[in-house]
Amino acid sequence: MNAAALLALVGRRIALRPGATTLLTLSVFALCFVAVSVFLFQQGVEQTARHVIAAGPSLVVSRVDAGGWAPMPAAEAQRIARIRGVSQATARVWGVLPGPPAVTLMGSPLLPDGSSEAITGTGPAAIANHGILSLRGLDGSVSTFRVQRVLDRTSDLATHDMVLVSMAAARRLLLLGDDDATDVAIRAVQPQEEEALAREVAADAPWPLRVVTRKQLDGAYMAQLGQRSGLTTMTLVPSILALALLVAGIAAGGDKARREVGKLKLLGWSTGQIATLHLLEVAVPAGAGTFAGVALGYAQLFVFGGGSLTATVLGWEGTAPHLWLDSTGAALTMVQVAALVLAPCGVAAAVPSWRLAHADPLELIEAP
Amino acid sequence: MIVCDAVSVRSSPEAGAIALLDNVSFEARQGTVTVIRGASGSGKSTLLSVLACVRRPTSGEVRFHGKPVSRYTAAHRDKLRRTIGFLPQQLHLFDELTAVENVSIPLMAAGVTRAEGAARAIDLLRRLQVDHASMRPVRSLSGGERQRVALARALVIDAPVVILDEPTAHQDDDRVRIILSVIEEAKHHGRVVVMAAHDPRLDAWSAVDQVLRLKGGRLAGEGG
Repeated sequence: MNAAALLALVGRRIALRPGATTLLTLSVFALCFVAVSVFLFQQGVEQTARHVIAAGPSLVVSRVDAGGWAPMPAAEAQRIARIRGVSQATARVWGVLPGPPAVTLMGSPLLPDGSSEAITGTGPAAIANHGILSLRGLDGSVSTFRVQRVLDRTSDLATHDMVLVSMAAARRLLLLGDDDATDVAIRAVQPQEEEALAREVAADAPWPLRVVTRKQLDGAYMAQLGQRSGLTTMTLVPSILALALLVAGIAAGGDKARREVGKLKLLGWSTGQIATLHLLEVAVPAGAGTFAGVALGYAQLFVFGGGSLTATVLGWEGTAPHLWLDSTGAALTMVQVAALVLAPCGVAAAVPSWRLAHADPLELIEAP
Repeated sequence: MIVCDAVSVRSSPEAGAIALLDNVSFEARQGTVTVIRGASGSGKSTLLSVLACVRRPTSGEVRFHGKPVSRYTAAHRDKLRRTIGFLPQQLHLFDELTAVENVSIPLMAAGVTRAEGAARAIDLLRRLQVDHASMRPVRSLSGGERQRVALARALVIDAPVVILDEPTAHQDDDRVRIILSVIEEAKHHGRVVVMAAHDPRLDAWSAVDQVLRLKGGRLAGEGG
């Protein structure tokens, strides 16, 4: 069969049913847009999170009591630093201020006690009023800070909602004592000894400790992310099935389509030629929808930074973090999504017409 | 050559079904015109649909050049229909498509290019005096124009077998003369033409080589 002639006929027949064509194109577009956004976002967050966790401490030690987490003396870092295998132990002062605005507050030795300046992530910087950020402490009191600088966007996943203030200011806002720390971050000499070191740190402590290794942190983060992404992905499955049903409905087309298949057979069209015609009638609008959906899904992550999708998948509020994606993996993901959506469409389009085209023409034309 | 050998068609496979065709046998040679006559319901259209490989006979056999085409598989019959120009009684046009597109569709199955298909379609539509409607959807055409578009579709593939069901219905005298001249041309090109007609204007048509009369699905007489 001549390809140009076939495509011209496909174009004419598509143009003759604008409603069904538009519905199909929009459905495929929406599905591809959501699927590509979710999968690329998951991929981007995973890659960025792994990078951030790898650059972080080997172990994080915090004190626990009957009520859960409890502050620990900052001097505990000196005790831990003396343990063999520990290269560095740093007492950290940090916590979450529910706000508004909700931020992760951290004490930084870069800012001297008494300073009213803050170094912020991109989230709080965006809501600062003329460079002044107001934070509500756990006791409800409000303190204002001048934003000295904004943290680099490349670390956005870890620092997006972060505010660094002086150690003293952080303790005041978090209601910690003058010598208290939230936890101690430890760097191990040998990364492969993290597990053994965790047991040793806990064994020597004067109070119960919770020790989280880098591996555990990575696992917990990925599990949480996987759960959220998995739920989002699961919602795509019924959508793909619904799309396949829509395509099958368009391809089967009821009595009129049966008669049309009969007419084509009457004129010498083979089963394969009829199935190809129907497949192309679905493939052209579905292909256009897929291309647009995939391209826009990619653009909204790479160019527009994720938008409201981040709030859905990660539960962030406000502006989304900047993501860095691996282009090779992203391309593969986009191809996978296109195949995932187009394959059921193709099957749904070809199978009904294949079945119809196996019948005798008169059976189809004279069918009630 | 077409051989119709003891062909019977029943309305359904069950016992007691009505016989639409009953033991019909005849031959039609290349370069001849066979006209089937008979009242409405006599089985003319059923016989033509069997000859056009659109319907299988319940019993008996149809042979094209000695080959039992009525026993061919569905896929073989699909391919075979590309060598049969068929004008069905109900026309079976694609109403939303233009006259040219309708006439070009059988050419597409045969692999003819779009440009060549359109050129051949327009040429035939011009000869059948319906070229003024070439680019109009066939649903907007009159009954006679639709009939000629469907006839053009049957003749455009230069098929060795041409099966026509009432090709002159709904046509005025001038158009009948044109249609008969086009059919006669097909005969002179060595095609087998079998057509059903109860149009009395064909009585004096000299191109007819054989007349078959059907009555109640049975062959009631033959003439030349």
